[in-house]
Amino acid sequence: MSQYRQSPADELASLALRLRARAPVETNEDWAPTKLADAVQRVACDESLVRPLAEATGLSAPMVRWALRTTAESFTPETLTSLRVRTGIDATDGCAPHNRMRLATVVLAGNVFTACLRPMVLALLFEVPLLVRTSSRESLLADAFARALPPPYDGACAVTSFPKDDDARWDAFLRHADATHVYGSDDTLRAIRRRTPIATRFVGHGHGLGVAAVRATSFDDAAASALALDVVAYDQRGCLSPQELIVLGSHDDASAVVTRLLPALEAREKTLPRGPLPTDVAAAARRWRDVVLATGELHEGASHAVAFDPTGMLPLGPGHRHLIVRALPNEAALTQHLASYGAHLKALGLGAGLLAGPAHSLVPPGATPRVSALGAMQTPPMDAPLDGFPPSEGFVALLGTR
Amino acid sequence: MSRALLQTKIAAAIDGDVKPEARDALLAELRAFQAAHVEPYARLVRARGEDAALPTDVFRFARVAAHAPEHDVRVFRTSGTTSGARGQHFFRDLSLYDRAAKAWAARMLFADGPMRLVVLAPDETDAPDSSLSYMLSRFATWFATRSSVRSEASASSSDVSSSTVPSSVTFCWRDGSLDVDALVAALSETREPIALLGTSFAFVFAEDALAERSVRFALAAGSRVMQTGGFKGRTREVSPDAMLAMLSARYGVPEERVVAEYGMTELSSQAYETTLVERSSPRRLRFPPWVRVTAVDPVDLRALPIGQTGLLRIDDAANLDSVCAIQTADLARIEVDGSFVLFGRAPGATPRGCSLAVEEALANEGAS
Repeated sequence: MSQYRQSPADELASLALRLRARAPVETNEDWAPTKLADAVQRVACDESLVRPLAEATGLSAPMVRWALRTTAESFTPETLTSLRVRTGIDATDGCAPHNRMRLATVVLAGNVFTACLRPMVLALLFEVPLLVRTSSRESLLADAFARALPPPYDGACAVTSFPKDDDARWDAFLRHADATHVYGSDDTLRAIRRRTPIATRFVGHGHGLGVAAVRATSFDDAAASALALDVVAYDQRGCLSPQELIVLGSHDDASAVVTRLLPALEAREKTLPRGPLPTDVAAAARRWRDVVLATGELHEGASHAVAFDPTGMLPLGPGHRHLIVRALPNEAALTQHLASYGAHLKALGLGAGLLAGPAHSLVPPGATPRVSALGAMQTPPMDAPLDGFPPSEGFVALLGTR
Repeated sequence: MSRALLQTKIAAAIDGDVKPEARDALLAELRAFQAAHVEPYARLVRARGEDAALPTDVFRFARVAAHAPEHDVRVFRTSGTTSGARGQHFFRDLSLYDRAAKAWAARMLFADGPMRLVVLAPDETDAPDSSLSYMLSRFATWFATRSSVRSEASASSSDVSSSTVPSSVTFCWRDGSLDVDALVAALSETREPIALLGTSFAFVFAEDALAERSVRFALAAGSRVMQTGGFKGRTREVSPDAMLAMLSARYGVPEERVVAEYGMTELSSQAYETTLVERSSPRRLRFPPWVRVTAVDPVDLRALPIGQTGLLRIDDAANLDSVCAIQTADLARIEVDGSFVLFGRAPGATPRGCSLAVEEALANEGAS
């Protein structure tokens, strides 16, 4: 029960009901994590997927391989087992602290192709059938994962796609779900939330960005290499990608950091080349670069650009390996600056000098970024919270009273 | 070349019918002067070459001026952007701006002489940093008839009209918004030809109010409507074709007498649609002869052949004390005769991606 491309609304509604009837997906703690982890590893190691994924996503083949490998690394049987245990899904004393959901729907965005694996695995791990709507730009990995699922999961997961303005199919897609997980822009989230039945749990993952922060004094070659990896990963298109580097120190300190970062980016480009730029992005990139040339410092590489912004006003770059660097005097100024991003701050990568301290103290109120070391910004563990939500959110309904 | 000599040359170009070759030579001299005196442009030229065009965005982040701040006589500001920063255009003197605006409007908008003006925009005293309000206030001085008796309508509208503009001008603006009563009165009381001038959004606002009152006008023969500006940050947008039909129907003016103006805070010259003066030609925008327009490739900014659509680059010789070579983010096609057709903002101006989506969201949150 994997592919339902462009199914009409009535078929989609029937499909949702059939999936719902499969709940709970009958599994057990002994083999469920292993089967799911194996399915992830199978698609991650499937070399036949690399070229089509590169063509569909615009990423280079090495970048696709890197993304598949690093994503799959955290889907281990041990991690999945631990998640089931933590959620209490295997409790046998009649005191399971949750209600089972019977159908989850997942709406995927198109910017990070591996993002489909986490919600798909989590739903099945928690024994919830799921119906996935992929982006029109890319559906290969979700399809491949659905096909790779062994029984009983293969009958509990379906992948579809339909135009975003198709009211009838949205209604069919959403009507029978207990929870809907949506990845996309804030506009997309608002639009789908309006369509979602009021009793359905809505878990939104809106657009966001990452910020890296370092002390100039502890920014060595290793840190530069790690940050360069964060920048080039997924061609800087994801919500965890660092778009901005804050250097705690003077303008001269920031310039020194940029000087150290540039060769690291050049080195990363050799192993993880950037994909071709879409014309609209190339045009925006040229415009952004010219604005920086006129007002700040621009360092252009073969497929990246680093801007030093002495004004503190220049806009963020257009992604696709365009990083803006600013200097701030201290941690308090950093927190104040981060607060300007509000809930859109999704990732905070910290250099060694800052990571050693209580990282949460830098995070402004209202923001729930994933805080990590440099080099790990774009490889979050699959069992880590996302946007402040625990992994079970929207798959397991905790009981309020017991 | 000195500023004084350049100013003289530019004035002569505006007053005379400058030919393209002479204009291009003047623009080259002007770019050289500006590359030597305008720091942001100097930086861009060092990196991109002497023919570089400055993106309009730079006016938001840097002072683009060949003179020191103490010599500013006027600062025009843009209406705002998604990032919140407003572009600023600093003027050392406004004589070239005035000369350019007057010469081209006289030819494209008021070729048949002065007339009664009704303006759907604030006067310059209400919006001192708006280049549009400044221009419209100058129009009131240059192009309004002076024989009309001052009306109740004009007396009841913006009080700025009382002393500084002729009595045949009505600025329909009060307390920061359109004064619909003044508009109705001004259009109802006379059978003289009227030039009705305003922003696109003000016309849409007026349309809603007038439709609610079931008011339509049949303006006197010889009247014309000029609308300008887009709908940035507004909740309702109207396509150009719908705007044309709407204005023609509401004010009883033939469509060929409805013209769009295309101007920017970053420029000193304006373009107008050609229908008032070239009635048999297709509806197109035209800048004056001292301005060069070029469609450029969005990625490498190289000039495209005539007839191809690209980003609009404008070289405005009247921009003496800032930068004459301006790179816009508007898509346009240049015609053989130098006129052009606009297609709105380039898709690349708002590329997809998390970072820009976030900037947009933050700006919207800030605006709400």
